[in-house]
Amino acid sequence: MHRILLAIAMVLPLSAQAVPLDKFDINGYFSFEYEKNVGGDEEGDLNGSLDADLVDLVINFRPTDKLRIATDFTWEHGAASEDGRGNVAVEYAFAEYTLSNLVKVRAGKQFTHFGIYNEIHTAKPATLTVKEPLSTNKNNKLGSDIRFYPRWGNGLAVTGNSDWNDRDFDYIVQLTNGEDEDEEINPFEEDDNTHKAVTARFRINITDDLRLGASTYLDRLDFESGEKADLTSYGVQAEWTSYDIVSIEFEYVVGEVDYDSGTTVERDAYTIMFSRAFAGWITPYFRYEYLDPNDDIDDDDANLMILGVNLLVDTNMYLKFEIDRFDSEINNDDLAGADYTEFKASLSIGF
Amino acid sequence: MKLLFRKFIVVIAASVVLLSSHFVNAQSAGVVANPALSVSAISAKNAKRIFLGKLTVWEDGTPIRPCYVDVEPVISTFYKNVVKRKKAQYDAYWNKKVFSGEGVKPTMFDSATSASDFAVNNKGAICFSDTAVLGGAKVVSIQ
Repeated sequence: MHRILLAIAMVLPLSAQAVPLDKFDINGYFSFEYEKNVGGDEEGDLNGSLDADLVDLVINFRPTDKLRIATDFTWEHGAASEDGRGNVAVEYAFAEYTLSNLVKVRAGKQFTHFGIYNEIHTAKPATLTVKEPLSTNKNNKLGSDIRFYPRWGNGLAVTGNSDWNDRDFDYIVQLTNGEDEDEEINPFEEDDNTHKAVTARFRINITDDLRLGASTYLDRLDFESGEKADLTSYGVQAEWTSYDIVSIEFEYVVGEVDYDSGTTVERDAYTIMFSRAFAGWITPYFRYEYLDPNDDIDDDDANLMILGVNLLVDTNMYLKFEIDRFDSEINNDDLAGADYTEFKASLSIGF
Repeated sequence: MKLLFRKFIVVIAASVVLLSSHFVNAQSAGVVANPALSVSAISAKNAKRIFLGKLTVWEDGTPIRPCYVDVEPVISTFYKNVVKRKKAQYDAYWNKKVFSGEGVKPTMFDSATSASDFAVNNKGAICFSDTAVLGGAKVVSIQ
């Protein structure tokens, strides 16, 4: 009997089962940018550069009704690995299992879900401006040593949404390896210490137009020098989305880096943006950003004013033009008092 | 002459009948769903939540599979009365959700027949479509 079964098994063809295409959703986005210093101190892009910014493929696969695999693959700045140019990366890749509206569990590499902008910072068609705020999201470019939180985390998450008194709310709690200050350790594969980082965010629609939120990020950092520190950041956010009058986005972040050696760096930042859509396709915007990288150091602040216009020229196709004015104080680590103006333009397409 | 006139009338009448089958009556724009769905009515608030991806699971635990039909006047009714956003605003809303990994946009069909097929063949499916084209799907009223 065993021999008969073995013979049958050997005769049956092994086949790779093709996955039905209706279980896949393929989307993506494209961005092409230009920027040039047009006045002030010689900072920023002095040459006027054309940038093959990125093309991303966003692929969702639903093998079952409750399971979703979500991925975003990116090719940035004309990626050419043979020449060591550009970047190829996984923005996120996680599995999500739905238990209920209120409870979905995730595992994998994810964006750090803090504040308004981090999870959409690469999705240029999803943002009005050419780039995300520096003060709250890339503060290490404006004078801080360390960001308020890392871009990504690898680990687990619980997320969900529901309503309370007819007010929609959503939440997410992430447990990840945290950021690794040791460049030889990949935080998406290995943790450099026994501490896990925690991110948490809660958002609620107070009205149909107004959504408020609060976020926190807690991490333990190990530096190559042997120094260790606790990283703590808190944020609050408000989004007023009105299609007939002005829309407003506001985010304030405060935090500290508490070194074991005794130093504590307290910092805070905020960003506020006003915009208004006209005729359904022309949206001028104004954004102001402010960063104090170290509350204990005088004259180290930096701020950024952006005035621009976003034009919806075709379905999901946007042209953006803006003037960015950087101002800094003399003790700012990155800009050291430099004041300059940049012109930025971009083409962003979602598909 | 009389024969020519009669033929002319017949052609006109046939054209009207043919063309009318492609026009959706705005009165019949509404929700069709999988026939096994236990709900027969949903609130306007929940309809909006479904098509904005804020309600993703039915009470019995079945994941919601939403779709909508991009044919006038169904699509105008969908944007104006259900999601209360213009097309560009609806696209922009879903750009943020899709590109950040937060969800999948409701499936869009270019005919009510395709939407009905989707509703019938997918457990938990609910579509904003033409309720005059059911093809086995059931009508769910918005209250």
